[in-house]
Amino acid sequence: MFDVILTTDRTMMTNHHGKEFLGFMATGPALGLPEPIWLWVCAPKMKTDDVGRAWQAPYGMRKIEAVLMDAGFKVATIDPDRLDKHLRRAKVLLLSHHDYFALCPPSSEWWSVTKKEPVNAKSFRRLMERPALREAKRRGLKIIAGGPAAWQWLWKVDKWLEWGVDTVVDGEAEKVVADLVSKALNDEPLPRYVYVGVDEVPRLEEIPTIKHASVNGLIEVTRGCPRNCKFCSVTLRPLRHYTFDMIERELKVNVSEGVTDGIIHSEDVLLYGSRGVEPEPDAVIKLHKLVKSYYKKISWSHASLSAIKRAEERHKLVSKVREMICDDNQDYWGVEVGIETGSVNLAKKIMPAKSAPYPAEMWPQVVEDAFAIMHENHIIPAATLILGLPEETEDDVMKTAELLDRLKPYRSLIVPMFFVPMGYFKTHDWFTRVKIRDEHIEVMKRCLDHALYWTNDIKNKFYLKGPSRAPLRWMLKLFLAYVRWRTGNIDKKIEEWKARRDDS
Amino acid sequence: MSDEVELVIIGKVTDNARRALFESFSALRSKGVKKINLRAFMQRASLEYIEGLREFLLANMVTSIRLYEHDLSELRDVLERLVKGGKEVFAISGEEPLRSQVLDLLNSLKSGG
Repeated sequence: MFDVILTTDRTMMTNHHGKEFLGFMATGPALGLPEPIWLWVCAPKMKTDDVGRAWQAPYGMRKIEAVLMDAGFKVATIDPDRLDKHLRRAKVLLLSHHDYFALCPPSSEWWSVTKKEPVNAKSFRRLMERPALREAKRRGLKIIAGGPAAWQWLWKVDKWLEWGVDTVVDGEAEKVVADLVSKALNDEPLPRYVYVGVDEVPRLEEIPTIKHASVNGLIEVTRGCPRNCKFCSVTLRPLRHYTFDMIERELKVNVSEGVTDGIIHSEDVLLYGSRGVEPEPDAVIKLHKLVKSYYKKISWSHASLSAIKRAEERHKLVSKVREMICDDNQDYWGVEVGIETGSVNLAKKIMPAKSAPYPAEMWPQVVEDAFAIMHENHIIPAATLILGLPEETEDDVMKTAELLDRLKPYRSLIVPMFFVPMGYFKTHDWFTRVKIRDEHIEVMKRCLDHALYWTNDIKNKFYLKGPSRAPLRWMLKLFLAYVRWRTGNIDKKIEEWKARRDDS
Repeated sequence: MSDEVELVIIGKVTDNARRALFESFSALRSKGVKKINLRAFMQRASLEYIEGLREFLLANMVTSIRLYEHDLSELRDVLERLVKGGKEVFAISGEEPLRSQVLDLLNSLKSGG
């Protein structure tokens, strides 16, 4: 029926019960719960139509699907559980993933700390090793892998070969994918690896509108980022803001397919419409007004702490957005934010513009002020810290630990992540380079304390309130009890681990 | 120089080859090249050579790259096709005498030999 199939494994082809943050559990191994139950909590099966097309699929896959549909290919995004029968006829299989091999944070931390393979990598491996896929490959199926984790194949060449992946595509693929698929269908030679350089990324008018619903109604409003942080690859691409027409078309697609809540995706939602680092209040307000006119509940993918502080202090913009977002349907919203470090010295070296328009010297204060603004406005952030950055010193890490203490009063989750080389640092070999030091352990412990302090409040009062969420709430309560039990004597365990590390 | 060039690497990706690759790449970029078709010619086409190229591929963040793999036996045919098609071709090898032989072949093809 379809010549070209797009798919991914269960941990990606899911809407996490409509709760995006539960997706973080898919980056870990099953702990304290049997794996099927763990997967049910974080990655429930996706609804499909009669032929197995997924109701919702990752947004990036929807973009590629749209390009190929516009180019006239017979293409569909198929749920992994319904893949086998399509593989009998399909000639090209396109894969995407956020973390094929669990090399990204936080998967890599989970793996390093628990010594157990995270469920996302296990699930992807099961997909690639299923007999129907192996059989299709023997018959000549072409496999093209892309998505944000495409670079990981360069570190897993054995799997690249073993699973018969023909081509890996790294970068925004809108302008290259149709040609690759055409070559694959016509048995023409395919490149083994494609890197989409800055001159090949699509211009705004070349970005297609998705044809079917995206996971949790996610819609992109901006590509690129102006901050030039050294650890990030997004910043290398040109900044492009979608027009309101483009955004509205995608809102209509999602709503027409029954998705009533959604996520606004941008590296920095509060910089929508801006050409630099100063928020444009009119554009941001119009954006939220538009999105809220289609979706009952909305959240943000990412925002910068400096933009949050600036937007509120200059324009009362966060408060104004809260008045638009919070209503009978929702009384909070979530966002991912990057703290990365509490050290001014390190901030100056690796992310000098992250605090802009405030000076890098103010970074810890910017973080604290932004957390206070979010707390007051019912924004619940999942914040990241990066440990093991190049040039990081013991003092830098202790500054981060001190900042964590100052953030204790603010409702949030703070996740420590070990540095994974991207952007300017992406040739660094982090597998052998990262050495967990005592001060890293101190930061991780404070993050755990912070999470245990706030999790029940977030879970019961905001995230999973109401009778319909009772089973999920119960499962998470069980998991948290397990975590408390396992970490009850954590100081003793840390001392034992340090002794083992020092001996070796 | 055109926006798009062919960069041919022959034989094992040794440290010498990798160094030459970085140097050629840097020179091409400074001349305004925006897309490089990197063609790896190996004795047995295998993904092992990608490990040798990994550092180079990851270091690039701006230029478009297409990496093609070829068996060494195809070298003459492919080079001939590229030269006849008017492509700008640059060759790299970390192994002597392979390097000299390929440069001789390329020069001969370019001069119509």
